[in-house]
Amino acid sequence: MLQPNRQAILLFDIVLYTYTVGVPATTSHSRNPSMLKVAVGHSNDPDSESAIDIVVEQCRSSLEGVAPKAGILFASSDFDLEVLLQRIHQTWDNLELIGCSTNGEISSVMAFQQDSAMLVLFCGDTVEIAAGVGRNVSKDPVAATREAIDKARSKLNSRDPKLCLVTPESLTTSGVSIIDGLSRELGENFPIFGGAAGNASNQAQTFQFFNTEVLSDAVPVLLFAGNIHFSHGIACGWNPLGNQSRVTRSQKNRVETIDDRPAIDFYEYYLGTRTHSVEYPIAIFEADGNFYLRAPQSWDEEDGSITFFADVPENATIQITEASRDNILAAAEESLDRALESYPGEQPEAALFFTCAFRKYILGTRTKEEYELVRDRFTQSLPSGGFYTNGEISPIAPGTPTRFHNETFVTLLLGSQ
Amino acid sequence: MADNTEKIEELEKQNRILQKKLARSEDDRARMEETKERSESLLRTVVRDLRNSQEVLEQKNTELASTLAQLQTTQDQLVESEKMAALGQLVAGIAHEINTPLGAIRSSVDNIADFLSDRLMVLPDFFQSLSGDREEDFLKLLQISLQQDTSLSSREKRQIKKHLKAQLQEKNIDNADSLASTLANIGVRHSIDPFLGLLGDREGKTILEMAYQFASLQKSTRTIITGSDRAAKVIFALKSYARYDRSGATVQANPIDGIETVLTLYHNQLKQGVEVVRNYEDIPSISCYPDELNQVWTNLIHNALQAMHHQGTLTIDVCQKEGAIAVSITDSGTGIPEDIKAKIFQPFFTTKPPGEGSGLGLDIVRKIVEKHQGAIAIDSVPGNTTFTVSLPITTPEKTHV
Repeated sequence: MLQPNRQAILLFDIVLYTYTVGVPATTSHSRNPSMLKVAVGHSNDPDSESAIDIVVEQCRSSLEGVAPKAGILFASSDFDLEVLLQRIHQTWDNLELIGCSTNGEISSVMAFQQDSAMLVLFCGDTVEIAAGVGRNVSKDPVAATREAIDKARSKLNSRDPKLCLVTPESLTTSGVSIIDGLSRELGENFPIFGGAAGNASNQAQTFQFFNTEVLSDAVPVLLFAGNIHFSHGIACGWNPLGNQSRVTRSQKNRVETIDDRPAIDFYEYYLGTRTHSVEYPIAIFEADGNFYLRAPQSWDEEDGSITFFADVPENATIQITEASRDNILAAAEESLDRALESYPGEQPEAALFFTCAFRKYILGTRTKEEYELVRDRFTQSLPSGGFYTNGEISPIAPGTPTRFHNETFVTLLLGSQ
Repeated sequence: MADNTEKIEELEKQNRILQKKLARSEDDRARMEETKERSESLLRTVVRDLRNSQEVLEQKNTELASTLAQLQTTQDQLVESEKMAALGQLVAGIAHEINTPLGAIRSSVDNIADFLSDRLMVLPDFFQSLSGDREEDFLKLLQISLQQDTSLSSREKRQIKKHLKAQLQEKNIDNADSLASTLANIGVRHSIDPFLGLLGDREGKTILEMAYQFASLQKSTRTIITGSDRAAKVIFALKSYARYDRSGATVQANPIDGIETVLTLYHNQLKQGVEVVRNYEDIPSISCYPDELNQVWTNLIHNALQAMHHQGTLTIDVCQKEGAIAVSITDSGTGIPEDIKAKIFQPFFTTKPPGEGSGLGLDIVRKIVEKHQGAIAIDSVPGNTTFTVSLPITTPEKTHV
């Protein structure tokens, strides 16, 4: 019982999906303006104005005069976020921009950083990209996600989007209800990728970006259509430990009792503290012995309940999990390998990474190795960007519904040849 | 000048970054310390749980060991009670086997005693009263009685009587029916001509009666001989069956003797509707535990009889092949369904209604066969089920299981 379940680990270690969309790959050079091109700027200057100046300048120089269509900004909430957005808007006024506050940033420019700002820009004549946003997602996730998708879709000429990127709120509502809403709009098996907005350790708020707006409780989306190839891989590296327990009362993502005792007793029993500990998610076992992870988001001292980042079914068999730093790092590498193996085109133009903030807490000084391991797999430098999230968004298997994950590393490869 | 300004700006930027990193580093250190504390706590709890689990497992292990010991005792008891139940059935059969001849002996002895008390005193007068011809007739009748075939069926007896009566009536002799019975009982089969003089005599009836008494006496004596022979045979079979070597060592014995012993003990259950076909080749004696092999034959024959509801053909083939003796016991019952074939040697598996079978019979058979380093196989189709026991001709000496 106390042995890690090898079969269960497989669910997270062997996940690999391929989507082949768009026109067939050609042998045209990457400078071909019709192809997807990605530029990245990244600065760790704590001064907002200085930081965004550097970011914009890096992007400009990399774009060589090409106008970007859309972008994603990942930035620490310590910045004056409006300053960042205004500056980007002043530079490229037609840019379809989304993004969110983060818990750490990754890029091909500065590798792993904390308290930095990083911008990813997308260009390409045969690629269509449009942004949308839905607000007040905690009140009505269905309406908010419909609003976001409708807005983005209305700007696309193509009626057939291929891919959705999303950087939603993570604290006010369950990630599962956001994904449910998006899937309702886009189709049950439509591929959606992204990460839930992160927050600084001293803040209980996250921020989402839409063009020049800094929002909370919102769902910004980017829809991609046209000539675009992509593949992805996910892996986590966490293993169950200790005795199995049962969720005896829960409502959506709020677990009231475990083994008929207040849910916070469960964590207190193992961790000796009533502080919720995101780096120790619970494994939720399915009938076949596989499991998925749910990390605690907040706890209620009065009624003893714990709110998780996504739904926890009542009567589920659960177990606390832990991960060694080696396992966490190996999972990142595996995630990338899977994505590379299944890339449908000749070679990707860019990579996006969505990795869990709680991985960072455990990796500590070794956090930088996560990106370094991934970077070293590329034979040549690939424009890349990513962030440490409060929840990762990606399908589990090809052609299956998108899922909300915790403690997971998602690699998304993009290109058009 | 411009260079200096740039340098200062760059230094200021580096300073900002370093200060931010320092602040972040403090935060991170605090967080890592918390994380470490939680990690240590988790480790302690898991180790404590493991210790508890270990204690629980040790306790469970002890309980299981004790339960296992109890189960083994219970199983031994069940095996014993299965043996006792088999013995019980056997004893009931044997009681019948012995009671039947004893009853016949008893009634024959009564018959002889009656004759002695009623007739012995009148015998001298009777013999003196006989004329020369009648004395000859009387002796002829006694001769016929001594030679008479006792194996006639009731139907054959009726036909003889009818034939004799017709002859009597043809000769206009009175009391033809009663006379025909007496003549038939004495053993007259065909013609009454040799006795026409006697039948016409005034004393003829008395002489016939006396001859009949002597014939009964003769018959009773024969019944006593047959009955006591039969009882002796059953007792001998019983002695063979129960032969038990306390040394625990194997002895040389011929399996056919054992099979015949069991068939003798089951004679009564076989004679009403079961045809026994024996296909015995000459086989050598083998080194074995004969009393235990008898249990095997008893069990297989008993099952065979039950499988065909004591109606059908029981075929026993004994042959020698490839250094082994093969004994096949075949019944003409309904057969064993394919899905339960694999289970029938499992302990406690039974198709009999609750309370009738312990499910240990074939388990015991298998164990005994294995103890002889032999093998048992089944081949079953409806109407033809064969259990074949193969026993090596030389079994190495083994300790008693």
